[in-house]
Amino acid sequence: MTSDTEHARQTAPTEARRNGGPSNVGARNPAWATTGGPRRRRQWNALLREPGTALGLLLVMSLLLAGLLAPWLPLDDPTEINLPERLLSPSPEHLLGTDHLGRDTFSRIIHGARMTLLAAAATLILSMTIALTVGILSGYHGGWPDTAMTGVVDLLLAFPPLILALALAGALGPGLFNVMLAASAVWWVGHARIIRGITLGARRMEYVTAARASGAGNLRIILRHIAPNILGPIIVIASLDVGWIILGIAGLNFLGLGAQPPTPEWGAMLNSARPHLQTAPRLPLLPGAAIFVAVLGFNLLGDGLRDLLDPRIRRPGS
Amino acid sequence: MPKLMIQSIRSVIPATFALLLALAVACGTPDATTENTPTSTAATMVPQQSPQATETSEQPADPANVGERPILNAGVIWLDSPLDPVESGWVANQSGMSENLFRLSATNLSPEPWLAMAAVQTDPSTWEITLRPDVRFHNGNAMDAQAVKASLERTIRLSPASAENLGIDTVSVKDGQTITVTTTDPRPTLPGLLTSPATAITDAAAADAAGEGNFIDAGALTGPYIPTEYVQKERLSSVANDDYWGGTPPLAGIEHLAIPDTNSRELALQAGDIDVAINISPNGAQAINSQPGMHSLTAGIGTSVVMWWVNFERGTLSDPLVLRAVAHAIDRKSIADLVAPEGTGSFAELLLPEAVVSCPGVTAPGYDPDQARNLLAQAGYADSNGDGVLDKDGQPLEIVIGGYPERFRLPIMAEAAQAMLVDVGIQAEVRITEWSVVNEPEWDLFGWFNSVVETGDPVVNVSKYAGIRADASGSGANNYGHYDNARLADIVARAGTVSDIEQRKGIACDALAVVAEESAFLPVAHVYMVYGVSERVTGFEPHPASLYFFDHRIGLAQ
Repeated sequence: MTSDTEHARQTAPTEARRNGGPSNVGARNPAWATTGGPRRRRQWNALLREPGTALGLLLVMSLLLAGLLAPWLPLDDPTEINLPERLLSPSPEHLLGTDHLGRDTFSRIIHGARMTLLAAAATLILSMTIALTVGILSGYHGGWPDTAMTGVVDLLLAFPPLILALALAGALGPGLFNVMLAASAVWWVGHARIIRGITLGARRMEYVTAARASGAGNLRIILRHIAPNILGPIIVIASLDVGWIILGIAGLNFLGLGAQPPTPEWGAMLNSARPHLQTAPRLPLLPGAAIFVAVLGFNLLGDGLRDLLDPRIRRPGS
Repeated sequence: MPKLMIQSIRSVIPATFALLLALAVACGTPDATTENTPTSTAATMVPQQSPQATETSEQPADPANVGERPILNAGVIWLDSPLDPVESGWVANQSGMSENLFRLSATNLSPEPWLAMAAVQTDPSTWEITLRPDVRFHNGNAMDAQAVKASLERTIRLSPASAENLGIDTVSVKDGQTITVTTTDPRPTLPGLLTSPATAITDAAAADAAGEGNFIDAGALTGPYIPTEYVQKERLSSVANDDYWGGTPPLAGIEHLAIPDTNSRELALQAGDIDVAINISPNGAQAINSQPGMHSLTAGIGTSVVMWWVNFERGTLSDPLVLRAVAHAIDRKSIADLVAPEGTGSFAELLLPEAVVSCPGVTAPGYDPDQARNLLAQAGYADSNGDGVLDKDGQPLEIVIGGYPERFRLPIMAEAAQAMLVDVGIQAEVRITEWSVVNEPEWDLFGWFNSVVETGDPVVNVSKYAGIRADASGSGANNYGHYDNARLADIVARAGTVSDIEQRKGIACDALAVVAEESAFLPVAHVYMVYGVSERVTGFEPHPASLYFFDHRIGLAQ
């Protein structure tokens, strides 16, 4: 059996010639572009029949919907306190009860999804942007820039990422935005190394040689030929990473470095529920369960996407 | 084995971490799940402990069993101040290592003899203090009149704050067990001032000879426990002082562990890592009382206040109308019920608790959001852009509520106040950082927890918060809000020569009326010191002043 990438590698020069020159190679060359159509749909359908992936997609879609629609759902104000109604048990009025300040826990969990997903998405985009820039430049250019960037990456990899993020967030001051910055500043490092490795492999491909021979500049080669070909693995890395990013950000928020009161954020909710962990255990359990569901959903979905996009894995429907 | 199944299992691992974390923090005792119920704590009133009673109620340990005596482990919030009294002395005092000439009574919080036997004011500026005859320092030297004279002189020499408070001019030896203290001006509350941990009696010659950083080696204190090792902010080890004047302690020693996080202290007690947890939360007390083998104790007298400092040097609250609006916007009583439910404290209408001074008819601005809105309108604030936040000259009305996390009540208070201020159109930002931030001009309200019964004198305790000394002659050290009021200084000045406690209480009420009227501080609750104690612990007597409980009577059943 030939994998998508191998298939792409074998067909790229031919397609390049068929399309009138190397400039179009990259556009036609991505794994999912060259093998799209009915086959890809069959793979998607087969993947969705996988219980894990389907569950992951369901959880992620539910969280996304809840987060996106939270302001318009008929929920109590997640920041409005009601001291006489504090620590109420679940009831029809308060599906998950109320917290120590009488705020509706269900409303805070739903609005917390919005905060958590927003923070995770922003962190992912920012860290991936840095990782792509550093990784591709380092892998493609080689030479002293590669040596320098690899040195920086190795240096940063020597620090435990969460501890480094903790120090950065502490230096930047409390706030969700600062936590996102701190998490992004440490999360890109590992990815940059992987992307550099993929780029190193990609730049030796014949279609890159062909593009270079036809006079294409470095920027064009990177943007039109290298980047599209490494996008598959990056999507896999990113999808598998969302769960860890959610955990990391929740951890920083738990430590009080991120979302400040009264922002409903799961890690911060877990922290503020600590005094009640023995007398009202649902208060820490609920945001913890929300983090669990989010991480589980993204990891299951990430696994499914990897099965679809990673050429080394035999996927259903292929 | 299907590869996909393996991958799915692997993908579940991080999520499982999250659930396990939540479960780990959520799993408590099944019996402790009753919600919305006031915490019940076992209230224990401590009988007045006179020096004579102390001597006669001692429980001397059998010298034959000294080697088998247990070590008690205690979890405390802070272990941050040096042991040398002239450098604060709080830790040494609380840990049963240092002692003063006087201490606060457990029943009425007035000064009572400790290392002294009696004190007589022979004229407005002269006190004659008789000392115990049987006290020795840890190094074996006798604590006689000459040693106490040297100790007080060392205190005055090395601690400017103590020197200013005490106002001592000369200390002379009358006889072997009597000293005469003259003050620069009348000090009717000198015995109370000598209860301060910073004035604990030390062997001055030994302390000076040991040199800086070697205070432990000097053996210069007198308490029932001798410090052996001190790692600040971590732990403080001690062994029993078998020659203690009150009797030999039943313990071999006490190991004090710094556990700043309240939850961690409570859980350490439940896990059996410590035998005594100092200052636990209402929820923690509820959980501990539901566990076999441990219970909570409190003296049942609110001697500490949780309050907000008001920053008079920052623009926002320097406007009296805005400050008064803030005072009306915050429902302090509801917040008090939240952070100090029945059995753990009470609402603080005024700065000082009724245990120190009762002031009928003196009140602070009450919760009245409509009045708050009116005041803000008078101050020129309006919601010009409809975003719910009032503004003036294009500037939104925003304040910063600061605090620190070690006192578990402060973050909760801040969050509750934040929501209440939003209701009247004030945007509030909560910043829970470190207590030392109170020294920086970055806040408008700052949550604070502190004793308000020091020295046992109500005038002193109003004055120090208001930035003036009890005789109105100087600047107080605790005035973090930079409050300044000449009228208050005039009132406090009346106390300069008054020794009658009832008259001093009247002066304190007049002073409290001024600071309440001007919302100089926003007190929330007077809280009890609640302790979690293993049932193996014997002889533990909670003291309302959060001092004096690690004495020579505390023991640990084997």
